Amino acid sequence: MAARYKDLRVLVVDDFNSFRITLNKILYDIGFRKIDSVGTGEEALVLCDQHRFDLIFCDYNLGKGKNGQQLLEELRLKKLLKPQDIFILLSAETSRYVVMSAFDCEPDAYLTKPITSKVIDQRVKRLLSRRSELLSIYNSMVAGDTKSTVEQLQNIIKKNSRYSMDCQKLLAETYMKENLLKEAEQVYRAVLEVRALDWAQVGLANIKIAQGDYQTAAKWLEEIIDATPNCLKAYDALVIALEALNNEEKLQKVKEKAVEVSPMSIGRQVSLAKTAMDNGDSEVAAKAYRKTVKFGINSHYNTAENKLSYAKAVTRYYDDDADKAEDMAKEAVQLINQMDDEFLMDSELKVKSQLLGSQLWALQGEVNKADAILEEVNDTLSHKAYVDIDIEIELVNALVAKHDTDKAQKKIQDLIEKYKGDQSSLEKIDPLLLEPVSEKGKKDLAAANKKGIEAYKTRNYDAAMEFFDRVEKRYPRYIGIKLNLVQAIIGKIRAEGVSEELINRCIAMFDMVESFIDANSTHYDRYRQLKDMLRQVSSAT
Amino acid sequence: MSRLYSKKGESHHELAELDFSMVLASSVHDMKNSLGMLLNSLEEVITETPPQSEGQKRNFSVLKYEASRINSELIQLLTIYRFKEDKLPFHLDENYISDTFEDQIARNDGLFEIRGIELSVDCDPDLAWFYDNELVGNVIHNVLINSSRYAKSKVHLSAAVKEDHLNISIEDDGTGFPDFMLDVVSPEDPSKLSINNTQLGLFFAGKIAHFHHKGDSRGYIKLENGGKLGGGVFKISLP
Repeated sequence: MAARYKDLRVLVVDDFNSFRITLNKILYDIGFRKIDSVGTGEEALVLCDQHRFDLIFCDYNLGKGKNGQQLLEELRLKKLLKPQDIFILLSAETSRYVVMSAFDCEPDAYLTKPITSKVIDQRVKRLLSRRSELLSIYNSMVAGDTKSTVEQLQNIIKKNSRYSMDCQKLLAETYMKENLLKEAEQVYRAVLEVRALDWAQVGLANIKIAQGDYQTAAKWLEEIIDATPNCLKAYDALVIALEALNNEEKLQKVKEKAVEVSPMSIGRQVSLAKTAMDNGDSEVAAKAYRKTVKFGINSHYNTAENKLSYAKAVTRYYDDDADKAEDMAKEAVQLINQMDDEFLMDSELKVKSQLLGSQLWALQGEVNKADAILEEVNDTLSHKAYVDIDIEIELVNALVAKHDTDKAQKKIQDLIEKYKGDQSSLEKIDPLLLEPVSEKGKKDLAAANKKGIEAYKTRNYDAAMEFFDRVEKRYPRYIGIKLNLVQAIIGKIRAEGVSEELINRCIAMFDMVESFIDANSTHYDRYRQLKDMLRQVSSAT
Repeated sequence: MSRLYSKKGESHHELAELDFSMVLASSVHDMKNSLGMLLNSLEEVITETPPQSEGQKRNFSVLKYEASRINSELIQLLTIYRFKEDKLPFHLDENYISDTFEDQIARNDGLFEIRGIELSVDCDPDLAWFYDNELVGNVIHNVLINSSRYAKSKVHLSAAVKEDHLNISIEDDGTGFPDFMLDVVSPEDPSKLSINNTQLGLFFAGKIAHFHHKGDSRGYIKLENGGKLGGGVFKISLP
């Protein structure tokens, strides 16, 4: 075996020079001769683009740049790793998030420092003998020869070898890729007969998803997560099932739990942020985008789009809770200012960034700066024949942010007129309005009202609040739903007693309502009535 | 967090608002990392300048043993903290016991040699079982460090399957465990294994064994005296 080591190419990635020297020496003593070593993930990427490496030893924490997990993800994304190439993640840290990240990105091995030369020697020996056993299977997989892949895998499984379990997993995955669900199911069931392993359980749920039975899949996956709360594959599959079931509330909860288990996974942070934004949960969205921007700085998630999404989430968060959002607003302004140098932005992205910048300044009271940017934008847009609806909406938001209410109202009316009949654009306008104009918005509102009122009538105030609350978050300016929510809260206070928190919530909603209506509005009488009711229940103590 | 503390009516001093166990965990974490560096340097020093005299050899051996012991204690502290916080990454998989043994022996490479202890292994190389390799590996690591201290000249590792349990034994030819330690490890009631009446290491091992289950059957640990080598016997049994 040692004779062959000298032909294998090895790469060592570690930011500590002393550790690189130590590891190089260990590898040389074992018999390797073609050893490269670098201090950063960026250099490693460049090298991997030039040569193939049989073995890569990479530290998790690489100082300022990419970390080991990000390097591995990017190598896979750029298809610079073949299935037989071995990636070994090393780490001096055993904190939970590092260990979870390591499981999450599935390197071929994970070793904790301090390591001795014997540990490396043995592990390399084992990994290489596994590789030589499975090499021809990998070759068939890369060549896309499913028949041969399956045959070889079945042979090894029959032999009951050391790699039988690995091969069962690969076989089931191969069947899944070919949509041979019955065959895949057989493999998973055979594994589960021996032991309740989470990957086989998730496999069965994935079969249900492939068959379109999302309800059953979701039920199973929830059970798996209950039993093994660290099983990230179960969360990912559950997200697919819930998306298919259009269960947006649960979807957000599941995504929140998944990032709690593995906070360094930027892909999951982005996905959570998007769902939270759709649900109008600006706080969760802003925080998740913030992590995307922070942890993703050295990854392919470092895009102008993600930074702008962060800025957008912050403006919404600012509306909901100015105190908590203040630091983020300052940070977002800085990010936007740096974007010109950082990215090559087309004029659409540029305008978006300016509009968000203008809002962030206005929200922080810097109206002059906000005005100057807005003027620039208007100048740019006046030369354009077509303006995207997303930009139009941010224009409205920019006017609202600097309290230019009349202009904003006029602009909104123009938009409703302009996009008449264009449902998807109208849906985007809905959150700016006091009443929905899109079919979907009207339907959402009617459904929530119906369920909420039913619950209210049976004195189930918590359920009623939940139904109203969901829509209120998504469409923060609908007066009717706000008043319904206030009524449900008053019901709860009457039944269960006064709570300062609930009363403050009502007062905040009244403040919002007051800024939109006057004595001539449809909701005025009901608003007066509820305000009196709130006064009565708050003084009842 | 802060609210919890003020509810308990404890000191209103700012420090009291900190979650002390979290502070402890994070500082233990730092210590463990520093110690990792220290162990690495020590390894290099021993390789580059092998001991010249018996006295030096003994000093190296003490350095290595004590540093490894602190390191494994710290790992245990962190693991227990995560147990308590319900944040322990548990990863059940099929593993080869001979690989796990090999890894842990390699991890303590030099420790036995420098103390003049002969290590023997009796395990079918094809014997595989389902367990968390990281956690069970840490238990074995910890027992190995302990037995390197208490053994006179021999340590024996073995593994075999009996009645649907994997039984791992680590035996030495030392003077054995004191009676009070034999009493506290009771497989019937692992909850008796509390941190108050036994060593941290045993508490840790018992918890990890208990974490492994299949159906109603759970893992356990056991201490005995005698065995093949006439000294202490540590047993961990996993369903």
